[in-house]
Amino acid sequence: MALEKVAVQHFRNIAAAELRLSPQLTLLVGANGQGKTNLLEAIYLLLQGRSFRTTSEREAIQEGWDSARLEAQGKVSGQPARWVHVITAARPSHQGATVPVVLFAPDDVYLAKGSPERRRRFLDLLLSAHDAHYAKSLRTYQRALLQRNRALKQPALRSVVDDFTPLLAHEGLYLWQRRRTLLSSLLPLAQSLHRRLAPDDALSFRLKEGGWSSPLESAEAFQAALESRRREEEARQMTLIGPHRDDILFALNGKDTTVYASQGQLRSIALAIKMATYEWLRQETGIRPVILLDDVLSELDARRRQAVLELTAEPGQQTLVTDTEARNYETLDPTIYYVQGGVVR
Amino acid sequence: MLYPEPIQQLVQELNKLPGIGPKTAQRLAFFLLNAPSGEAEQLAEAILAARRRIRYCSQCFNFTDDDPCAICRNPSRDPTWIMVVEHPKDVVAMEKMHEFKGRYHVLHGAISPMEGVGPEDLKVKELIDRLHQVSPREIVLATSSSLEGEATALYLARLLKPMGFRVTRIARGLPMGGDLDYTDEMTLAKAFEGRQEL
Ligand SMILES: [Zn+2]
Repeated sequence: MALEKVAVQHFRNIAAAELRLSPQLTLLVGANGQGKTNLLEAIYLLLQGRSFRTTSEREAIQEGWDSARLEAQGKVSGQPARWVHVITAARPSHQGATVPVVLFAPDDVYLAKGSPERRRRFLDLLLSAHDAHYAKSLRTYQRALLQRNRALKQPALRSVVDDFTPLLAHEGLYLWQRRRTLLSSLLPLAQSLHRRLAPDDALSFRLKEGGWSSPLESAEAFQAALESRRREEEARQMTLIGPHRDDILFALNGKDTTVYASQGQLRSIALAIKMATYEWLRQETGIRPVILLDDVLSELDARRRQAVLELTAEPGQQTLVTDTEARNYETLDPTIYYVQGGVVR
Repeated sequence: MLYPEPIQQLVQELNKLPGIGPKTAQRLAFFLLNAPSGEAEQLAEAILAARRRIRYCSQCFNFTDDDPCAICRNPSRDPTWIMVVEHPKDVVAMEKMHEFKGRYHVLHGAISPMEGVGPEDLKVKELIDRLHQVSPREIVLATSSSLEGEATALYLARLLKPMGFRVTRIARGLPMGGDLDYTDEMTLAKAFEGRQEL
């Protein structure tokens, strides 16, 4: 996998930019808020078809313009490849193969501590990008959930709540199954990576199914569980059981990280998870994922930084790094771009 | 610059149509103004005639210019075999299939709480009244395979089965979310033949 050329037009604060990327390390240098992360986002959008940011894509169009255009050329498994992503007021258009990408970002540290929504988003981004069935199932689930919640809100429509339950349960079971499988594949990878970063702490994590104490194994069990909480659902006017309320429970030495972990421990967990994701994607897709390091290395101590840099130093590993200065990377012979006020040179 | 008042009026009216934005409305307005004489009049006439002559069939609630409609009047169509569909266009799709020899019931929509549409907004009460009159041998639920179509089928099955009616659902051979009128006749025929007892 190698991206060769990336062109960005009217995307966030970047009017126009063209980058030729190194097959190994490309460094984007600039002060904060100049547009470095926007370039990483553009590359992520091209390779994944969706953004890692939660806001509407339309907001990424540069002010005063009515569309943004992203384009890239490169090779996938030795074959020439091209990507185009156009954002307009209507639905964004995308063409190009989905290529695995792993983004390391400063807020990864909240993965094991922040809101459950962040953890669900981590699961959904990862699974949707490489499993079209999951992406479709998630959309149907979300629509069924919305319909069911609206029915719970309107007394006149209470009689149809259960007509949306079987499809909700059907898709919900599939989402649960895929999320559990993903986490149990990531677990041994993350554990062994984590042992190298923090030998004194034993990491574990698992899916906590939303709104129910144990995994629900069949659509019937799911429906029965919903039935048992129906009065509460009507009082609170929402669906109380299902993947939309899932969480990932992280523990160090058996203790819940949302309560007990220090900042340094959270950082090790985040790194271990992201590196495990990298390994998993590589095994699943047979393609070496592109690594995007968004302003993370300066935050890390020597041991953790070493672990990340080892990964990027492997031959044929394409990586983009943003930093406020270039001097940490001199030995790696990077291609360097300077980013200032949306201008790239 | 503003257009003369009659043009503005025409653009405004066309703009009210589903899927017609202001730009398209403008284009259509100029097309009509430039069309050979008589064409605009024919369109206006057709709209008025359809509005004047088309109403719901009092039995199946399909659109008709003659009540009851041609299908409900046809003695060779089994009045005790009733297929429930969402829209008039679904009747057209099913008729192209040439397999179904019963009669229809058009709901005019599907249950969708997010749009505020419940059973009372559909021709459900009318369906029940009709079923009690004809003692049907089979009710075929042929709502679409969208989430809302499936939920509507489920609702009707829950309602009709306790009344002792035989209820079937066309097979899920249709692509998920697929409208009946976008489905080819072969696939539709398969979905119909493969219908299952609920
Ligand atoms: Zn009729």
